Amino acid sequence: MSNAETPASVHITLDGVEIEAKPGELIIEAAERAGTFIPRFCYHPRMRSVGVCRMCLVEVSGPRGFSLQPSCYLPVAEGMQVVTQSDKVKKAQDGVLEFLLVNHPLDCPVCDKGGECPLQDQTLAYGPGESRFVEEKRHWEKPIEISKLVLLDRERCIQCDRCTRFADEVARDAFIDFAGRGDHTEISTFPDREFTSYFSGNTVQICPVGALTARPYRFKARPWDLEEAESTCTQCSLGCRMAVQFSRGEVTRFVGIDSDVVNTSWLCDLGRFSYEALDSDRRLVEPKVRYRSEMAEVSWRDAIARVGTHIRNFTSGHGAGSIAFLGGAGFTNEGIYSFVKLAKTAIGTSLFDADIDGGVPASVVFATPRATLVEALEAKVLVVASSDVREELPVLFLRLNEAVKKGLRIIEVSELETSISPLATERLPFSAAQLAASLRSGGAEAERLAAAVNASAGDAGEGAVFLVGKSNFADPSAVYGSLASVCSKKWPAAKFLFSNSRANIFGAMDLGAVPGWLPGRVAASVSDDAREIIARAADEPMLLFLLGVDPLADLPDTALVKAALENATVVVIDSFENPATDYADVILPLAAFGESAGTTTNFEGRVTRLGQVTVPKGQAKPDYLIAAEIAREIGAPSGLTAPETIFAEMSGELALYRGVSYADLASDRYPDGLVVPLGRKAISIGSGPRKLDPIATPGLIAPYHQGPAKPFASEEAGSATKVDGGAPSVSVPNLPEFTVDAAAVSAPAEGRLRLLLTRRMYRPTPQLAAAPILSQLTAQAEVRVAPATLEAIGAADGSEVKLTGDHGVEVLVVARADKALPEGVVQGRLGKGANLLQLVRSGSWATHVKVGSN
Amino acid sequence: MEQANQVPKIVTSRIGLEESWGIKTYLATGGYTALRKALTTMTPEQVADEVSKSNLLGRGGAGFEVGRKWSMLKPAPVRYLVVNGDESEPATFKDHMLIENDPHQIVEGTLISAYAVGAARAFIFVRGEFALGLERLQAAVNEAYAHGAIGRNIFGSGFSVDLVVHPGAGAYICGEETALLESLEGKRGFPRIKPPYFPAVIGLYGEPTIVNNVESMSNIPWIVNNGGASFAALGVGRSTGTRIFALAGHVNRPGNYEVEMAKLTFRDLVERPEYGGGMRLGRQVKAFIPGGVSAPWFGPDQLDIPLSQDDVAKAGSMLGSGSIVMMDDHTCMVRAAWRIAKFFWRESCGQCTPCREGSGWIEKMMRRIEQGAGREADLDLLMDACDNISPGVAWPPQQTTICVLGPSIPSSVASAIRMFRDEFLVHIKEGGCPYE
Repeated sequence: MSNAETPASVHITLDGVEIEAKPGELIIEAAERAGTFIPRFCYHPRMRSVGVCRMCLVEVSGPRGFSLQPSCYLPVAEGMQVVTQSDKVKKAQDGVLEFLLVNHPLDCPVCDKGGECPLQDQTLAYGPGESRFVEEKRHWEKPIEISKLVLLDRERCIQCDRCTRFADEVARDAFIDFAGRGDHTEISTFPDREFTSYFSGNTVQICPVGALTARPYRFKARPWDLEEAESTCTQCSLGCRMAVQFSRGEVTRFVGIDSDVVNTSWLCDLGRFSYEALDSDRRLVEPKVRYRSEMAEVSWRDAIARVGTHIRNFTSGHGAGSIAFLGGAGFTNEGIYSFVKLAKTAIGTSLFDADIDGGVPASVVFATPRATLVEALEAKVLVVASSDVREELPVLFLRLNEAVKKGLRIIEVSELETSISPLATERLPFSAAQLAASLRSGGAEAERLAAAVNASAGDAGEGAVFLVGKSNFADPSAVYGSLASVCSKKWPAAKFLFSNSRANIFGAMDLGAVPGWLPGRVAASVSDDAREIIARAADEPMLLFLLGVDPLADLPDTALVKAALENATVVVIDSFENPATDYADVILPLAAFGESAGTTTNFEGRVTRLGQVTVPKGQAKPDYLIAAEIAREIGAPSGLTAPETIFAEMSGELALYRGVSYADLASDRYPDGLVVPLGRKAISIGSGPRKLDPIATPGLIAPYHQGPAKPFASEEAGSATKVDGGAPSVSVPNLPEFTVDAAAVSAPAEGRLRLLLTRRMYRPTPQLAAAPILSQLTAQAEVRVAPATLEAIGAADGSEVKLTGDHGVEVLVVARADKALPEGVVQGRLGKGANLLQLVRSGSWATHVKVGSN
Repeated sequence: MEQANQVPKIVTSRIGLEESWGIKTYLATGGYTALRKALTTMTPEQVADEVSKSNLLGRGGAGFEVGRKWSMLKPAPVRYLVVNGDESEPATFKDHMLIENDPHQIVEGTLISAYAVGAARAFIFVRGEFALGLERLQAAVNEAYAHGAIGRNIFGSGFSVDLVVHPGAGAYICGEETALLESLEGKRGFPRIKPPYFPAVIGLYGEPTIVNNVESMSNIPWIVNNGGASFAALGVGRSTGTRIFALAGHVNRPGNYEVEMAKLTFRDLVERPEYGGGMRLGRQVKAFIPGGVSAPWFGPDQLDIPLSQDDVAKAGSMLGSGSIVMMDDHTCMVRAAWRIAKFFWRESCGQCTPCREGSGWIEKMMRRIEQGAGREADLDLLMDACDNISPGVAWPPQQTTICVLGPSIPSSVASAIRMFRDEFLVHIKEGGCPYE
């Protein structure tokens, strides 16, 4: 990554030895790569240097001789001499540590951080043997709750500015800051305002002392009792890399891993604390079948036998086409592959739809060149025509915020203000349908987008990346397929990412768990999607497999869904109780996160391993085993009962996975997994085990945490190698055509407003409902309405209003006045309480509602 | 010598005049003639050149040449001039007097300087506790706007500048120029880490900025009217012109005295009848602080050092903010040093560890000794804690901290221990203060 002006490297003398450093690199980083660890507290490689803790003082040569300088703040310069081992440095470090301990309580035995505490570790390694401080320490009330999730013990705080910098710079949620001064400086929230950041858990992870603790983990374990395994978060399709820490068979904590290409150590609170639900009473842990009107616990054998009977009866009575599978986007690749084989080969039905949200269809995802996350961050221009990124792919918001600071230009296409709007150079206030129609037929909207894109990326869109997704959950998926498709036609050199956000939806697409596709991105004949399947199930006898989905919460037209569930024979395969389990004839308990091995695929197509750290709760079983047992029951044994063998078959049979081995994915060579298909672009190769905590002290913690010093050469960005055997050939389909009735979108009936449905990060999912603390954060459904409209019906901000849908459905929901809304629309925010999806009629191009007083 | 008659009063000429703070008095005593002269007959470079020739040393504490500071200003389309009126050093009260009694002189100096450095917007940051000063300074700015001395096309010269008076919020640290800039930007008053070393490169809102002291600004009109050479003719060596010394402590006549730089000694200032008039009750000098409470102390044998920046520096302290605190032989040195340690503890901003934690620890030890619970080992411990904030505890100081508030903490404590170790031992042995 060098250019003509800056030299490739500079040379500094570190403790008498000349070393090579990167221009602009901080002394502390250059030294660490050369194997010299300089102690530190406030330094964090993912945040701005502030140089406040003074722990990293070293002697640096300057015009007036050597002086003590903060190595976390000063960049290297050619010929610079750095001394890290002198008596002067040692005395400064001793002094700073002693000062830090002046007011820090020595309550390590009862402190959650004890055993993994940088202050404890570095005091042992660098500090004086004992404190000479005999005075009274500063006292504060211990601990105070700064949010539902995070507690603050101000006595332990060493004012390193990490949490506050994170909140302000990284998360753009400056809800905490310093108050007071001198040794009475404290971290504080603002009056009557909690630390309600979606990313608050990161402050706990980066706190170098036990000042910030997370309620779900407090007093649950001691760090030295914890084991850990690398894994991937499955709360959304970004696929943040994380370590799952566990003790005695129980998941105790998730910790973000500093993966350059995915999440740079950050997690959202939804992902970080989702494990709260794993031990909940709302887990499904016993196989159950319906006897008369009651669900009864039975053995797996009996439950599977009942499923087998249903399959045989439906096949013989109504044909294989009466059997449908909905969901599966939360499953492992191995589970999806097994179920797709079960459905499409053993049973012979093509009815399978994992994309229950109706996002951008697979036909478009496969037909457009996919970008990686890093390509998107380094794009000449990034067009975000998607749902609110912070709500759907939360950590992507952090990455975009960081990239914008480094110069990324974002053009947002959104009717509503979103979290991305402040980051964007420009917001084009168009609906997806409007923009797609304009791009197809030529119009002002298309011209504005073209001007914005072409200015950076030229007519062909070279270097442009589009992030396309569902900005309005009342819309059919064709709207978004159409938009992506016409954009790809107009800018053939542009690359795409899609914000379909269910954890493994892209793995599900790749493995044929969507209508019209077979495993390996192989086209099949078009078949019904989830909405059409539900519509059929309301009328015809059908056997419905619900694979970790609740159609009542996720599909529009709730009345129709209810009718379908009542009419159909329902087999629920899920980890958590949900409204749909009430309609089940058979419930097969599914292993939850951490209880099953396998792989998952993120929105880039990156395949990573999931860590299995414990056995499934109760009688629950992994997805692939359930599929295997059903297959055996119906006389089509697959013999595939372990993720290794299933993955081996996938990479043997499907060109998409050629060259990828299950073992490779867990190796140090590919710490962030591999993007499939291989060879399409350079693959970044990591350099061995990574440390989880950038301030961990070498020699004092498990070797897993530290990792070796990184060699200089291999850190060059994206150091690329090709995998043996060259690029596998996965055929790329032609861009599909969609017909979108834009007129229907723009022309509401008299007195009606178009409904935009959006989701929030804390949305009521079965897993969230089972999480004791996160469930308290789940937002209530609400409708945002222009103040004039509210006034016209005599309703006040915060009062209930009645929404009447196109087909007469009425919903009572709390209304909020919103001055920023564009004309002619209302924004429904999905959440607890009122179900706004029932206002949406399946198959309609747009949903209009009448707002009336209650 | 009848020196007093020949040496002009450069910055205190209007002190004592009726309504000296109003524009009427100011105009009647030659006010705004320098601004008119600079704007209509001189180029900005010529003004800067006169200031360089005057060798005016900054009057805020560090004593950096004003002309040299201006010359370091990075060329940029937007530049700012910020005047530091956050005078908060204990026993320093010279800017306080200038702000309350001759605000127009500050305004005029600021406007001329803004012209010289090419700033289209200038700020005067005034300590928030100076309620009367703020009122009078704001009134002066309003009068100057009405007079056409501030605003668009001043005196038809084509030069335009706006001047904003900004009250501080009561933190000593905001007198540190980078903390002042942060505060002015609306942020918490934390000093900025160096590099960048000079606001002249990256200052207010990231733009090149000159930060000058109120007294420095007050000298500018005289320099423009009389020429830099006339200013440089006063004083000795690098210490040119006159300077206000805020004489405080156990003297008969405490107060602000404008005297020619380097011509008088500390003893002259303390003893001459027109200045300090001798020590109170005829007592002996036990120790004195030559330049504000950040400065190391001097003893009676250093009374004959001239009031020159370089001579004082050579002797191991500084003229600093121009405040001189005299302590007589009835003063408890432990208590005096504790009192100063307490000040720095209260005023530490809390940003960096050695100052935040060291100031409190040192204060606690000093209090314990003064109150009779000291141990002999505490003296070495105190010196070592000082050493961990300012390695070597020498002058000029080194520091482990971000800003110079850090090494200011040890100045008094280490001076007291070094000069009066016996007195500490008496406190420790007798279990209390012998002066109580």
